[in-house]
Amino acid sequence: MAAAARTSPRDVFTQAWHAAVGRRGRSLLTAAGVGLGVAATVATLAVTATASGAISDKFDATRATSLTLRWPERVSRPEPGVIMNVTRLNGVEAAGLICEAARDEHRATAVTPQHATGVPTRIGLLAAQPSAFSALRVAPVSGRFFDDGHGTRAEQVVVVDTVAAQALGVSQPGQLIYVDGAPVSVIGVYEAPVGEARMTAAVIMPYQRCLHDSREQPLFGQPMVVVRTALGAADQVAGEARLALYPADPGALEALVPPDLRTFREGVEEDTRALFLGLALVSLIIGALGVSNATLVSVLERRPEIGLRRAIGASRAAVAGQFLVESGLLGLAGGILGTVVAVDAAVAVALVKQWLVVLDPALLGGGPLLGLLVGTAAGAYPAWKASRVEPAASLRAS
Amino acid sequence: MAEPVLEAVGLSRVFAGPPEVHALRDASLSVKGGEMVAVVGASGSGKSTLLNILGLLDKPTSGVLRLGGRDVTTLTERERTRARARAIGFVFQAFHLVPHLDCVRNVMLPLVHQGVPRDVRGHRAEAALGRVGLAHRLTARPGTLSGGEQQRVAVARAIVHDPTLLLCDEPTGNLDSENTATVLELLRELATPGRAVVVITHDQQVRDAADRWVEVRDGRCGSHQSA
Repeated sequence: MAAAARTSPRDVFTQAWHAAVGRRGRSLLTAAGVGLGVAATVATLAVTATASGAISDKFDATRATSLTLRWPERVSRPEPGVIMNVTRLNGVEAAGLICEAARDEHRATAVTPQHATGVPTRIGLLAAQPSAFSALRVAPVSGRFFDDGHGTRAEQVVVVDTVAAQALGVSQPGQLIYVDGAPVSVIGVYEAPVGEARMTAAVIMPYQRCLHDSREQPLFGQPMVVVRTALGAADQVAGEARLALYPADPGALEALVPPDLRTFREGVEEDTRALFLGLALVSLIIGALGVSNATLVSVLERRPEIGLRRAIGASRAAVAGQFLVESGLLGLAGGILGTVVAVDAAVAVALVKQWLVVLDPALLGGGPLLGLLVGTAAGAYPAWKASRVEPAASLRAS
Repeated sequence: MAEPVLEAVGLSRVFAGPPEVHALRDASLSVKGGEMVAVVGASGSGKSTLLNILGLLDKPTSGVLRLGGRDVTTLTERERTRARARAIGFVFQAFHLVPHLDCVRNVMLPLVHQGVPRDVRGHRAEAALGRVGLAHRLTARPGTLSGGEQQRVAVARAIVHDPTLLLCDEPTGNLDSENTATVLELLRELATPGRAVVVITHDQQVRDAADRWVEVRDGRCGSHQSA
């Protein structure tokens, strides 16, 4: 007897397609299970990518127009007026001197009743010229910044950022706080800009405190000149400013890259993303179990159909293939559905937050592919069960 | 004289127990082309076991089975699947139509699983449906058909690949007398010189319509001519 040809792969696919489409309601519900898992995964990746993009944009815009030069060691600290040499340069929009005290060594305490006896708050301590605020794009959210007069008169005034203000319980300007035990008056509160780690959770004093820091162990490090330039002028200004500030040895001024807060934020984001991806993975597994269960139930319900197919010539492989493809198709449908939902969700979040939507094209293809893989893997056991159905028993039982 | 399409000699089937069950004992049967044979017997007599063995859905414990003159007793499972696909058509009491496929696609199924080219399948399925008087219900789903129509679709599916043996298991069990008569007439017509029809039944009407009937009692066959 000549061997008959087998069910072709195309026919296996067609039979699976008819079964999936012919039982629409059940297929849709099964696909939705995978869809949820894929949506959670894709949305997590899409939203974090969009958020990272937004943070990077802000950071890059700051970085392209920012310049910081460190005053040489063992050279006496510059008078405030030296900054005029820089502000006159073409392309410079604002410039100022700041000094940073070693971090982690300073404590501030509020004198408000609830904080008077509390644990001192660890803060960053800075001294700055008023023009440095403009150079660093910092504006007061309440009160005011000190001016040159405050510095000249050696008044004990400071400004604090919103983080420090909250920690110290400073609700309005005019309150007194203790910095390293000495009383100072808070005259303004500012919000630290994105990318400026040193100005976050910080107290800023007039620059003169740094200039006249005559202790044996100086509180503040050598001053830095912060410059805000026109877009693209930072490199040009860097060279000219060195000469303008210290003509004797321009090369002694070291150019500093702004402290990279982005690295820190990316670290936090990565942790958050890992958490969300973990949750997404759980939903994906639940979705896969759903498909597996639904396909297994379908195999039990369709035992007569399987028996009939086997009786009229379908091989075990053809039967297994049909159920495997059917499950894969449901997974693919869920993957497409989930990706569409996830992209919509990411776009909605971006719209609300006014971010630029960042979508990796690989994600658009990856979502459906993930669904297909999950669906196919979930169908493996039910497909094997289907291939084990004995035609005689299944046809008689019905 | 026509050659036997089907020849079973001394078939027995023992199901391992405990308790061990002798479902068939030394059963012999020969059916020629153009013949319609009814297999009758009480419940548990071994009719279904005989049908499964004749239809290559099960293997006998001992005995010889020849299909178209070829010994098929010792075929492997894969070879039996191919032999079924080529030479045997099945009609069941419960029709076993696939509910999500329309009539043409249901009838096409044996051709699909035999790998018959797509362009040929449609014509043959339509012709088979025409043969059973359902040329007007090609795209209907089984759920929209009457019981008689569904069984005729099942008959069309059983003959679409032109098998030499048509095995029917209680084909009229779910039909009223009018539809029973229609299906029996159809089965009689299908018993052509190149094809034999074997019908397992409880139905007197079916037994009377057959050329002869075989009674299975306690796993043994005894042949009788129809009236």
